[in-house]
Amino acid sequence: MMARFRGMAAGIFAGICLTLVSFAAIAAETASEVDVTEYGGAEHSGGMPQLDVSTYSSQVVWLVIFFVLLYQVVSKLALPQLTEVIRQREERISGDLDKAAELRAEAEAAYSRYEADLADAHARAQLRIKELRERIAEEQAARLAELDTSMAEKIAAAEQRIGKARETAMAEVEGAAVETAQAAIERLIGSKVGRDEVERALQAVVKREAA
Amino acid sequence: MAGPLEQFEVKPIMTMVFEPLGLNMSFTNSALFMAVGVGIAAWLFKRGLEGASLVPTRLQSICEMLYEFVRGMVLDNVGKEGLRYLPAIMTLFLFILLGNLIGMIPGTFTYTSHIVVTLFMGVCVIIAVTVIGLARHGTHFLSLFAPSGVPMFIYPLLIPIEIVSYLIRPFSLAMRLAVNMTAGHIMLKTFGGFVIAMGIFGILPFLVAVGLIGLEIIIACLQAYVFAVLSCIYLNDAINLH
Repeated sequence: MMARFRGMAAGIFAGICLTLVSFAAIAAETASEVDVTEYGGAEHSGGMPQLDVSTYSSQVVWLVIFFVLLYQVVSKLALPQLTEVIRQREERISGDLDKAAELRAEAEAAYSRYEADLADAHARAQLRIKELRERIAEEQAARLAELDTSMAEKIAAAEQRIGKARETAMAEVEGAAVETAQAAIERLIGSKVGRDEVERALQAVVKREAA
Repeated sequence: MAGPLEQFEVKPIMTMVFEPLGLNMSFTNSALFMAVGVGIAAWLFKRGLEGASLVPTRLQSICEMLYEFVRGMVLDNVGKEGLRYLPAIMTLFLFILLGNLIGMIPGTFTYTSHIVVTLFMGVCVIIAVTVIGLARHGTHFLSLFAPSGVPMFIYPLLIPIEIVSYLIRPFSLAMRLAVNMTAGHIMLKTFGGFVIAMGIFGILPFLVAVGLIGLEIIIACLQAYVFAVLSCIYLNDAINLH
């Protein structure tokens, strides 16, 4: 590509030189004519200085010289540095953008990791709470059952005690009734009646009443 | 008082003659301001780009804007292939732009107002474009003068027109630039003359001249752009035959 460019440049330069020579030839010819007749006639007659052909050759010569100089300035001094600094800037910007994208991906990964951890912790906590609740419920049930049985035992014992107490109380009531009946009979008839006789009579009465 | 055309006179500063051809190659005011233009460009790129950094200084920004502008122009009008000729297009643009802008300073000489300068540049552009086209496409390049998709019987008419329009390109390039510069400067000079001649009422042409200077600066930039962009379009014709 460089060689080809050189070739092009050489072609352009050759073209410039060709044109320059032809212009120079024309200018030289006309200049000599003008010299003979009236140099700078255009100025004095109020014509346009642009049409004064005697100046053409020098203008073209210096145009070529300074154009080539400017071409050197542009191609050797300006363009290489400009392309370099702009390339560096683009590289830097794209590099920074890449790094930013990388950091962003990292941050996103960290965030999703954090969220996963959080969800995990939540799940574990829920599990623990559930377990605990179940255990408490079990313990409560067991304790309630225990309480039930012990209460039942106690109730049974108490019932037994009450039954016994009632029996003794009944026996005592019977004894008291017999004694009372004895005392009443003694008062009524003035003689002591045998204890067994009174008992029998009372039991007969109780039986009759019950029937 | 000096006439409006005096500013275009080419005055020798140092008379030089190339003896073998009898060629007048005097260093003139025209050459002086070409040198000033090249000097400004060299100074701008030297100062602007020494220690060029990622964060540009003001001068570096100017250099980069010029570069991006011309590069965009070449890319838009020619495409990636045209970037090989970026230095040439950029030189052309800068040479004309600097000539036009230096000419806006009173007392200076506008070398782009001379038809011989612009015509020489135009001829070189066309020769270069033709050489590039012939080098790339060989004789196929001549199909530029015979656009496809045209009825057969039109060709005898069309081909001469195409050839004439191709050959006239350097003249249209040259005339456009030189005449714009010349006309603008004549107008400014004329209004400047009125300012003095009209005494106290000179304020009116003075205000007009102030407006005209703004307009002329726009035209100075615009004509440099037009010359460069048309060169790009001609280059595009040579590189990507339609």
